[in-house]
Amino acid sequence: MAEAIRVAGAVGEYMDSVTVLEWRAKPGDAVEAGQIVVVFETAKAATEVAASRSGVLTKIFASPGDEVKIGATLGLIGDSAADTTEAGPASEPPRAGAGMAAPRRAAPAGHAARSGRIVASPLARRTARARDVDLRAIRGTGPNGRIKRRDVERAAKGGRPSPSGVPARGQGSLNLLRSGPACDTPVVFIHGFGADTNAWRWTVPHLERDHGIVLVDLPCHGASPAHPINDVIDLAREVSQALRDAGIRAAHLVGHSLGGATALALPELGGVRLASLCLIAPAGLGPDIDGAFVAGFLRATGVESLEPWLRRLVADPARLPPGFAEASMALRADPALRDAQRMLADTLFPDGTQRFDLRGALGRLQVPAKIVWGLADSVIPWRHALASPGHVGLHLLPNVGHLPHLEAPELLARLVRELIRAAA
Amino acid sequence: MALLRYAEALNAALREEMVRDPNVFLFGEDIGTYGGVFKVTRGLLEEFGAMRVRDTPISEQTLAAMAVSAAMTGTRPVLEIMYSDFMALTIDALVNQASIYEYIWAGQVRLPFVLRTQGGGGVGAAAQHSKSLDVFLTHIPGLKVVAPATPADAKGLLKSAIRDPSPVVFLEHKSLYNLRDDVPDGEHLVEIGKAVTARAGTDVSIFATSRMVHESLSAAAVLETGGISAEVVDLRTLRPLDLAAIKASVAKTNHAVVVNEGWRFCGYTAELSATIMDHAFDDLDAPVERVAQLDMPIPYSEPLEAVVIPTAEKIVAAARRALA
Amino acid sequence: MKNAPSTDECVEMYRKMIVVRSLEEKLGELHKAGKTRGPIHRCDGQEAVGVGATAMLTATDYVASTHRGHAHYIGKGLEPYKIVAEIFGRETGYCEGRAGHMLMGCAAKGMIGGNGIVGAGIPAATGMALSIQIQKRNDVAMCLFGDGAAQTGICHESMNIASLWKLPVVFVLEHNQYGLTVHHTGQSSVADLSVRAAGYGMPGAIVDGNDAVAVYRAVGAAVERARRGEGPSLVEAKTYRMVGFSTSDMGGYQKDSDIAAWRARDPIRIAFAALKDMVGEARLAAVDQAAKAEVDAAFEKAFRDPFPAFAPDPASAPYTEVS
Repeated sequence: MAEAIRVAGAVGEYMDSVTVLEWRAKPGDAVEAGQIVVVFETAKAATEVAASRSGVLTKIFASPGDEVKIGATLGLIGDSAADTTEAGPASEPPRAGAGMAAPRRAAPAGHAARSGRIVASPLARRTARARDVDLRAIRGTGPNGRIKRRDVERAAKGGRPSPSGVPARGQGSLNLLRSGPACDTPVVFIHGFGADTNAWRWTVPHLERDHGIVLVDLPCHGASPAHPINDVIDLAREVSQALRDAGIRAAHLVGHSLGGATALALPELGGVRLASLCLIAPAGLGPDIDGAFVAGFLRATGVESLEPWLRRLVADPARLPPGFAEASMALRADPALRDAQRMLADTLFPDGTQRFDLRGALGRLQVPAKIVWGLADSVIPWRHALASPGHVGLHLLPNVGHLPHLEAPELLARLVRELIRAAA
Repeated sequence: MALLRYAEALNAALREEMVRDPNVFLFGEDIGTYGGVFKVTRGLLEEFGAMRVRDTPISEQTLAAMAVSAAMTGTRPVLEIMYSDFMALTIDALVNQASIYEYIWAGQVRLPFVLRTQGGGGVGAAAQHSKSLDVFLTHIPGLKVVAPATPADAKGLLKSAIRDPSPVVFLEHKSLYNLRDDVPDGEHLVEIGKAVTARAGTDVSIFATSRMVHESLSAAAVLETGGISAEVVDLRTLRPLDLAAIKASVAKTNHAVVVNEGWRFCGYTAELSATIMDHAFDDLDAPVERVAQLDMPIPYSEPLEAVVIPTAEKIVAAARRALA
Repeated sequence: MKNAPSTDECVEMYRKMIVVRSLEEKLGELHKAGKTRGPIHRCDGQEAVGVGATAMLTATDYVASTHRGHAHYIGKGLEPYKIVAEIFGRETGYCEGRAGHMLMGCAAKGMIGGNGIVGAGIPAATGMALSIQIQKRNDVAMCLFGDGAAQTGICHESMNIASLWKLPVVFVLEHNQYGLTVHHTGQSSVADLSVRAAGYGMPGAIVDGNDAVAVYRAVGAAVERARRGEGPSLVEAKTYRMVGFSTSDMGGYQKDSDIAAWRARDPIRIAFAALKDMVGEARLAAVDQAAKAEVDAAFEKAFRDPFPAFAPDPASAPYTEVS
């Protein structure tokens, strides 16, 4: 079976389509895994796609100059020149807008459904009786699909009598994207709530020439699997595990917002050694968060409803790149992903409040650390930064909102470089 | 208020009660001239004399039985058994003598004695000097069993235990003797049978005993960094158990983790789990999670011992399982 | 010095032995009739030890007994009626029916108490003596125990501690030849257990356990020594268990010739022979009749008494909040 060459997710893309610039191999050529086979143009840069396996380039579907949809198959690499049958998900139509492989689907249904018996905690049963909720209509989010009180309450609030109960969406480990030179202590970027690895596309080009880069999709985000998350430690544990699985034992961590909280919790687990820490408008340093933004962002099912909320993210909406809202919505097209993020927000930010407090972890940091925050941030108040202890550097950026990595990427890259040097 | 080590707090309790009541006397191995292998009785021989502070032969079986009968004939003995592992030798006196007479003699006698011992691992004392045999004792109707986790409770509970008209087994922990904290001066009594909330929380209740209270507090701090608000309840008295405190905490958090340093199978955590199921089933949003010692002898080497004994890390994991 | 009984005391010991014997025989009959509950350990033939050893004690002296303690109970002054009521589980028994025949106690009379763990009375009496010493009282503690109990570890530990601390305790070894079914020659490395006293640095004596007066004299001397603060003594009273271990004992291991020989030395006969010239047979017959009548009346009255109502044990409550 031949393997498809696609517009890969490595750099991410907020565009519907890309333009093929050149093929570096022609049909019939032998190719090595890792060898660049095709180059295409995105909004800002040329992007190279490497062969995912060794073999023979058997088919080319798009010629230089052709505009192709994100996710479309550009060509095939087979075992021999005659191997032109596409393996795997070729039958699945390319997903417009998603610059990455379609999430793997989990086997549906937990054990709860196995025997037809309802598996619910005693408290869930009591709550269901009291609130006249039919447990049969609920899918549990607890272990083995057990219905817990939270599931009953979600159903009782009318919050969809829960087809979304368990947003089982994909399985396996988190999606990691690597670039830059190989090194023992890469810079690991963890995006914020509702974003994905694409968040770093403005920052990473300033760093990847000199440093190994790892971009992580958090659980319930991007191409990572979705499942119930109880707290920030769960996020940190999964990131830690994914890094260890990838052979990464030490890292410079850069985390934005919820990703900042995750980065802060991660060294406490001990699995990955922290070399330095850069927190960008991090969560976990105070109770406030713009609940209206979180709710509105999660509710949006179209560009029209999403865009006003996205404008709130930055100090100057004019800085949002063209097509940003469309691309963002396209990345959120999967309802299962939105459901998963809604549950995550319910758990982590109930009632517009950050339910976790990482100030203790901040105080225990032993490595060089900086906090970067936009003074025009309207999602999480920058004053939370004042909770930081004296050994943490503060960089407060005027005329910058919640997305310094979009609004001031060069400065951010410089601050990260300084941290890496300080940690050396 | 004074900053005292746990051992010093116990010493203060013994001294104060001996001054208060001439019928209180101490006996046990190496408690006199040497002041106890953990120095709990330091200075008391000098202060109260050899009649009331007695070094004994190595005869635990008999010493325990003597405590029982001395208690029923007008004195208030405080016996020290050096290691809780040696409590195995005292079991006949406790299970066949001490525990029965108040009931089977229909109130003709009371048995106001205290049997102090210390247990627990973590210091490389190996398989015969590290055990937590709490359930050998809590299993026996007619005995009270207390296990203070702090210097203040060590003093307050020991004073209450000495004044109690019934047998009290007083479980100390070898790793706590050097723990230093504020201890009220003079008359400081802690009621037997009352738990205390060592840390308030809303998401999960951790019920712990003795040194495991401190491991649980460490676990709660870690959990907090992940946004989990853990309540740590120091049971303090293992029998009679403060059911009201347990019910109230489970009603609040709906999730329970029970922690005890002893073995898991038929262990104290089993009783706690069953108690919570009996009395708070409908408040539970998840099964009770147990953290206990692995069911095996305690190995000597440090990394081996660390695997066997409950730790904050295991408590964190249990809390997360409860909340999953 | 009070180590020789007066004539009246001898008559009283005779009376108590008859009370005990009557009690045991009546219990035997009732057992055969299926009217007893649980095992009952009779002391027929051993009455002179329990009665003689306790005769010089006061109510504030303590006695720790065994599972075979009826003679000790009567010797220490307990009433047959309340003993019988206890044995038959009545509310009016010494322990309101909670203890039974084997574990009976009467704190007011210093009988604390029966004990079903063989040997457990030895450290118990030692502890009582420690308590007496600490309170600087002039009382003594006495332990009656058998040749079986003498083989326990706690017997060794207790005698060592008692002698080390010169505790006011008297160890009365009621040597009835058997530990349950095994003869002492199968249990002990020495025939005379009193030789062990030397190992603890205390006096040891052997006395005819079927002669109440001889027991009184030997034990009385030990009691006086204890009261003087000179420490413990061991008195080994040689006797014989004329009946089985308990009412459930099928027998077959005691030689008929042995039983016959010891019956000829029945402690009541020995006492009668010693007393008949001193006080006259008529007085003894009257004592005999009164004792038996007292026991008969005890049974009659106890059987009419109510059973106790159940009450839980507050000290055993597992929770501070009962729900």
